[in-house]
Amino acid sequence: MKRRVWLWFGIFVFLLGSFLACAAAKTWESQPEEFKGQTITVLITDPHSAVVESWKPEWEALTGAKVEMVVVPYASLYDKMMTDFITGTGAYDLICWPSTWAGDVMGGGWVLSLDELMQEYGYPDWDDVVPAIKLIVSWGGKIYALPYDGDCHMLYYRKDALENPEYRAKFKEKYGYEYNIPPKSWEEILHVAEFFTGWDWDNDGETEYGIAFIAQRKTQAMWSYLDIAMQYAAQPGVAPFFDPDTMEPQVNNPGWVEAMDVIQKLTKFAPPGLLSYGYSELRQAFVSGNSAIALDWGDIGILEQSPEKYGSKVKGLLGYGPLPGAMKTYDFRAKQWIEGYNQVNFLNFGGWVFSISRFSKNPVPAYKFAAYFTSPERSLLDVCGVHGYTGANPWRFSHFKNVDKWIEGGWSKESVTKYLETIQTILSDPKAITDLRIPGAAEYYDYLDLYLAEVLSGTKAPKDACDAIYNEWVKITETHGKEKQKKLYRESLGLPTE
Amino acid sequence: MRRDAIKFGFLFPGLLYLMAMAVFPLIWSLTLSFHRWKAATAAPRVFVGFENFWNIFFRDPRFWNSLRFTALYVALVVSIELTLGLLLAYILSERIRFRNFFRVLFLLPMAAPPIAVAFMWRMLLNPDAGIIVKILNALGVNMVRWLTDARFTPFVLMAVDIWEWTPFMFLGLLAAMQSLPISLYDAAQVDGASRGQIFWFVTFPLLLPIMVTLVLLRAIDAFKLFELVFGITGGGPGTSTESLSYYIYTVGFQYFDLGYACALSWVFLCIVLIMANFLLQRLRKEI
Amino acid sequence: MRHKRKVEAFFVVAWIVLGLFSVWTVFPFFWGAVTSFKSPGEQYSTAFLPFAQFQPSTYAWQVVLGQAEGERTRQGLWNSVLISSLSSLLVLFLGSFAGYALTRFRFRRWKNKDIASWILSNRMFPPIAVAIPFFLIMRTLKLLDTLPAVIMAHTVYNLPLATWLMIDFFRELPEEVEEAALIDGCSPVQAFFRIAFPLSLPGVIAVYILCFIFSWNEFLFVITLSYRKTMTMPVIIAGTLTVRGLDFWKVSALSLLAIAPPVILAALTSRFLIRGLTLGAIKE
Repeated sequence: MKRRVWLWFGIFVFLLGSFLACAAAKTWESQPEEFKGQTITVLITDPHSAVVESWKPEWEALTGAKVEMVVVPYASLYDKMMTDFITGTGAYDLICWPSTWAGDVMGGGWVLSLDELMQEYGYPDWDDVVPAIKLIVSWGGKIYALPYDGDCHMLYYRKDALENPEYRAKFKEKYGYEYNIPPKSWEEILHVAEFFTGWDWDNDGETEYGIAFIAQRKTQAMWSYLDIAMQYAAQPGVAPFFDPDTMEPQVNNPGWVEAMDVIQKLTKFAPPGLLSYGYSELRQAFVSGNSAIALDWGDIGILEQSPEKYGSKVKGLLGYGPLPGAMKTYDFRAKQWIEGYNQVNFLNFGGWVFSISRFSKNPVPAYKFAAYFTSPERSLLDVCGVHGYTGANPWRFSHFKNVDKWIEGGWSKESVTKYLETIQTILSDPKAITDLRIPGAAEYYDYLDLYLAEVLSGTKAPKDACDAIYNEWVKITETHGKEKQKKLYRESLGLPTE
Repeated sequence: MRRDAIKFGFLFPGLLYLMAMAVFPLIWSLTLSFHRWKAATAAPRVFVGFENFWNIFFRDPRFWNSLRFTALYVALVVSIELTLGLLLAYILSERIRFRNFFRVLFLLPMAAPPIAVAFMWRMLLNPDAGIIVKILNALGVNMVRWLTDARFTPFVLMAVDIWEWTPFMFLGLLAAMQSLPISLYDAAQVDGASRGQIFWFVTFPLLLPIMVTLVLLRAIDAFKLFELVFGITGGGPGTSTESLSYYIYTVGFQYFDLGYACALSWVFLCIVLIMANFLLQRLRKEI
Repeated sequence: MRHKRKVEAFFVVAWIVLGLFSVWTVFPFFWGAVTSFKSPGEQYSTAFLPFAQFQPSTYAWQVVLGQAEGERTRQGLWNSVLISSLSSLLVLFLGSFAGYALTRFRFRRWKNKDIASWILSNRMFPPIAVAIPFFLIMRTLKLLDTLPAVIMAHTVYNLPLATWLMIDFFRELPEEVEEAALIDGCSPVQAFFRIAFPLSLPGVIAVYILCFIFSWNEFLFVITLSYRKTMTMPVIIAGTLTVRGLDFWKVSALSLLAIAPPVILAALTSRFLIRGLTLGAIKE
């Protein structure tokens, strides 16, 4: 009797052991020759294509697989991807896309949930990923993408202007208070921008201006506006787009209108060409030194470092800060203003991610390839500038710690410390607000952009524009189905969906 | 009978090819235009009858706005291009030195891909570093205002179109002038007609039919204005440069609202057909 | 005497117009060329005299043609050449057949005019509405990312234009020559190949070049129907507008490359172009 038990126990131990051995072989780290003869196709755009290109030979040599890249212009990425999805073609295995499309791509169910793959093969140090980015790659509690890039707007300012004691004194004389460095609220920014507009404060013989931001139509100027709207219409952890109980758009509530008013005022303190500033114009203008303050993703920081490549005249002169807050904020649930300082971190655009198409025939090699180059050590090289400009910004805790690599990438120690500290603060904020992540987000945002453009060009009053956006948003919600949108919106916020 | 076989033999390869390639897209888009299909979200197609068309005509100010801009755009650029093309063709059909050089030179812009043209002009018109902006500013023209004021930007876009497509008019008209019968001119000169008179009473009437063809072809293409908007203004400032074709692109390829985009396409087709028919019936008697 | 003065006044005005228009035409190309020889850090400067004002740099050309992207650029150019020349050839044959049929024969059920109008209407449809159905057709035919797919699409796009222009040419040709040949025992097919086609050769060349240019410049069908093997120059140029912005030096270099072949072709054949494109102007 006893022997029988021992025998069974022995068999059990043997089976467990061999199972563990098998499981141990299943790791995210690619194994030699494991995908011999298989091909995966990656849909990607420049400059991210350069990143994949740089890891491709190594990985191909290691695993014996072949990586085909389909590189398309950024403007065609969405339609290229969607054409493939809606026709069920399945030409791509791995797709590099900006997570601001999550509502369509994840919400539409076009990409695989990675939970099983991550469980089976593991993932290179999930705890190293900053919380905001974890939020961005998930939908309804499941993970649908591998992170690759951390995106958020930050405030850039000219240290030589704002920190000049003489200017500070003059400012105090004029406005009766001393501004913070960097300015803490949009009320302050309005004054600072006004103060630094229209004179030559850096003594280069040219007139400078207060503030610059992206304002051209169809270059996603709405992010500049949302930076402000978040402060007046949202509170930490409370997304301001819709009322999650009724799916009523909030975009014309007093908070949003106030923000629209602020951005219209700011255009007066901006360079004259502001309305034709897309990404390239803004970044080029700011690093060539024409304004005191700018809003942008991490990119200006990188362009700042290389005068020879991007014509930067401000190397070492830039300071970095989080988005300014506001001195009051509108609580849409209570339908009233809350007086007092409010600052909200907002994950504009959310960063680029890699997903596996639902129609992919090779999900495993695709997963392992993406895991390969997004592992901590390898992805560090892509974000810190060692690999040149890649469009990827830091998104792992380890990226923020390894300052030496950044210095190798061309940064000065002082700049990079401040830069990383700023980004890390924003991305580690558990109450940071994500994008509007519901189906049709592209359409919602485009109407926001459209009427914002009318406000910026002065053809519409802030309140009218907000009302017009409200009407469009109601229409869009209706055509997608109000109940469905409400459920998905709640899902995207992590609220219970009854 | 045999002659019939031959005549269909000539016509059919091209016609059948076009039909084979065009029929499916036409049916596909016509069917969709009666559906609501937000394709990006994997939502099912819903038959909605004429709702899309109703919305276009009665609930869509953006459609009317873009139509207004496009119509103004087509009218202005085509007429300016025609005038300039006529002027240049007239000068270069005279005996003038370096004639062949200029003839080639003036054709160049047409040969450049519109997307490249758009990007190049975007570079020239960059508000802070664009060379044209700097030159004009130095001459006292506030160019930045032209780029950022919704009332003026459409004209900047038109200028680029004129740069690119005047060669098309020039080419067609020059070719036509080359083949004008010389005897008519001799007769006119003998009668002591002045240069202006000869142009107005002899050349111009002879050129009229070809001008209609050229205007028709150019107007159809100008109506499809897309690359310049896409590459230079994105439709802004405000909505001042959103062309119809760019609006359809936005609805179709950015919202993936395919039902509505197809309905818009059909409305677009009808508008162009009406325009083309008007030109053909009024101005060109017989094909 | 008075007459002569007037003529001179005309030439003065003519030269002024020519001068202004030359500057207007050439300046963007000139600036593109200058920018393509600037280092990226100098791309926004107004310097335009090489050596005197800025040190020319071949950086842009090294990127575009060298190791980094050279292969893609060369393939794009080659694809563009193949697609444009072949699709234009196909268009030319189909278009001249159809054009000949519509000028020399009378169709009864559908009138000639209706057929011609229908053909032209194919050029009026916004390409956006056609792109996805074309994608579906090509997928069914298993032709995605192959040259035939793009060539077929461009043929559809250019055939209406070619047919219309060819109609005008054949109307130009005196029918008597062909009729004489027919009486001498030529078949209509022979009449077309031996007489009508050769006689309208300048026009045929002109149409070919126009179609070549239009096909060379077409963007939307290529991007819809290609993955990587059949990308053409316009797509590569569109790709320079990235999330980072627009690199002027790169756009300039690529645009010059993309402009060169059709420009050279147009320059070499401009005599035919001008002689050929009479477009039936005079037949009244």
